[in-house]
Amino acid sequence: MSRHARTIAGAIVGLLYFGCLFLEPAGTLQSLPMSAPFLPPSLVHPLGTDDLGRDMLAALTQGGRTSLMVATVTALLAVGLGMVIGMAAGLGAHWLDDLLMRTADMVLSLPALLVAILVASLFGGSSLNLALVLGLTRWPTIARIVRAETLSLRRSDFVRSSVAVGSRPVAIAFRHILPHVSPTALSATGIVFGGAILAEAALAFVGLGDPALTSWGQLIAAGYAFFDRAWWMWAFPALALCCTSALVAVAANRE
Amino acid sequence: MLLSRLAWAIGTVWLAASLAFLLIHLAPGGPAIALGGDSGAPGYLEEVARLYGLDRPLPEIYLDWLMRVATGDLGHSYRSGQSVLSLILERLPVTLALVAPAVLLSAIVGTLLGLLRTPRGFAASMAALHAVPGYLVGQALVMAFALGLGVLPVQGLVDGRGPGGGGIARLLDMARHLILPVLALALHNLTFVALLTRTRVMAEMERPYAVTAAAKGVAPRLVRRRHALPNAMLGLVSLFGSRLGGFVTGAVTIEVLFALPGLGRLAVTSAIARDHPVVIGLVLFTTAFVVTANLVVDFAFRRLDPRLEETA
Repeated sequence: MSRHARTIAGAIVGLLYFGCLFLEPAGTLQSLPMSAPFLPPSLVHPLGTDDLGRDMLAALTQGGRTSLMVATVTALLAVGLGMVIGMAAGLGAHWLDDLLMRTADMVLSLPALLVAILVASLFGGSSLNLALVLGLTRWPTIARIVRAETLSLRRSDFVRSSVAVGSRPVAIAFRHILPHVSPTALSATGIVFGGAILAEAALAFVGLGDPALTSWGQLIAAGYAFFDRAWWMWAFPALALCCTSALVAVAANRE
Repeated sequence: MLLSRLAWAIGTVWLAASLAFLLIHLAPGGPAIALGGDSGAPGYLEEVARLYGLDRPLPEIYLDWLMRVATGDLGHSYRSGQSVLSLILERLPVTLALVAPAVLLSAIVGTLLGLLRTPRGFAASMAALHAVPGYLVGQALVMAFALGLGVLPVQGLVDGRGPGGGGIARLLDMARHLILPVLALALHNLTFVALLTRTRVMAEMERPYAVTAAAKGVAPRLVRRRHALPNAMLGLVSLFGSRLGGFVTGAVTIEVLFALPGLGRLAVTSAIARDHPVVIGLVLFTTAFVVTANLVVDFAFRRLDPRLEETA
């Protein structure tokens, strides 16, 4: 995968999401104006209308905002925790490294989607709760990569010189390690970002999404039921989810 | 090594149990509602609180909770009154019948695909395909084979209008109903296996033994299959083991889509009905199940490869 393709893929995802922020305010399908139901794609409704006559483009835009919100909060949380824990494990004493990486292994083995379902059951469906669950369970992917890089950087001359002149570990971590691990960490964050997009859609698909926000998963489940008379109700949300998730995967591909 | 894997397994289940405990006590309305449900009957919540000893100090409740989890006492569903463990064990065969063939299929076909001489852009297209969620694949399969061609059932595990009775006919009917769900679950994971195999085999191909084999004139196809694959297999199987959890969570949406009465659908319907004990039980059971499956894969593997036994 060329660097070029990755940048382009990342830029398209950014533009798509950026567009969502401006086209339509956040909300539910109920907040959208209604016209005639089951209108095929036309100039007035570029992506057609749904079974209650709501514009599919507006619905998709609302779903995009939800998707972006969950994925961004998840990624920020995971990258923050993952960087700090990964660098601490790589620079810290042997026992600290052991403790943190063992914890990471265990956290990564938790069934995140089921934990998210449990949280939805106990606290009600909520996008923020979902992002918290995903962020708090996905940091180990980033921490592992950051730790591995930190360990190899630790033996490099510039880090050893810094230790020799008496820099504190925290200063070394942020001044010398952070800039070097950032590119790989960013790519791992892309994978977490993509995973969050899919998890949010999956939860909404089974009916445990945020009731206050439209989601692509919810639109896919609804559109599937009307596929024989209004293909656009299913095809466009499905396309939006697949394309976004695939583009994120391409952008995060390090191969 | 063996001990550290065992510690990891027990630690993971402990982590899940502690997480569940934390969530139960943070839940709106308090732990009594989370564990017993909000039935509204007077005196009911007090009854639940007494049953779980919720008036004791928190550390004591916590230890008691861990003991319950360790002994498999996951409480009772307050929709059906059935014990959560028996409810789960009842549904387990359906999920296994969905997940096991999908695991086998994606492992075999994925490995074969990864071994092929692949054209440029193969990795990218596999990565893109991997980004398509299983339930979308499932919906597309239903549109093509069930609604379009009409050769396979749309959903369900058995045909309600079928011949009935038991035995072979019923099993065949179930198998027919499972074809599309298994394909949907497998296709999503197959791409991952193919990518992984390809990367691993390519790494092995650069090792001296593979270069030697190629230099003495062994066909590239055979070098890949006979020399590189067996060595690449090592890392593959253990990585595949770590993906088993992904199959189980992937089964959640597939079971909902195809209306299969498995664990995933049980989790979703229970969560919608606010039947918390069942969902808590499912989180714990799934964690234990995935961890055990990983251990089995690990140990089986150590037996297969003597080199690993030595480093233990």
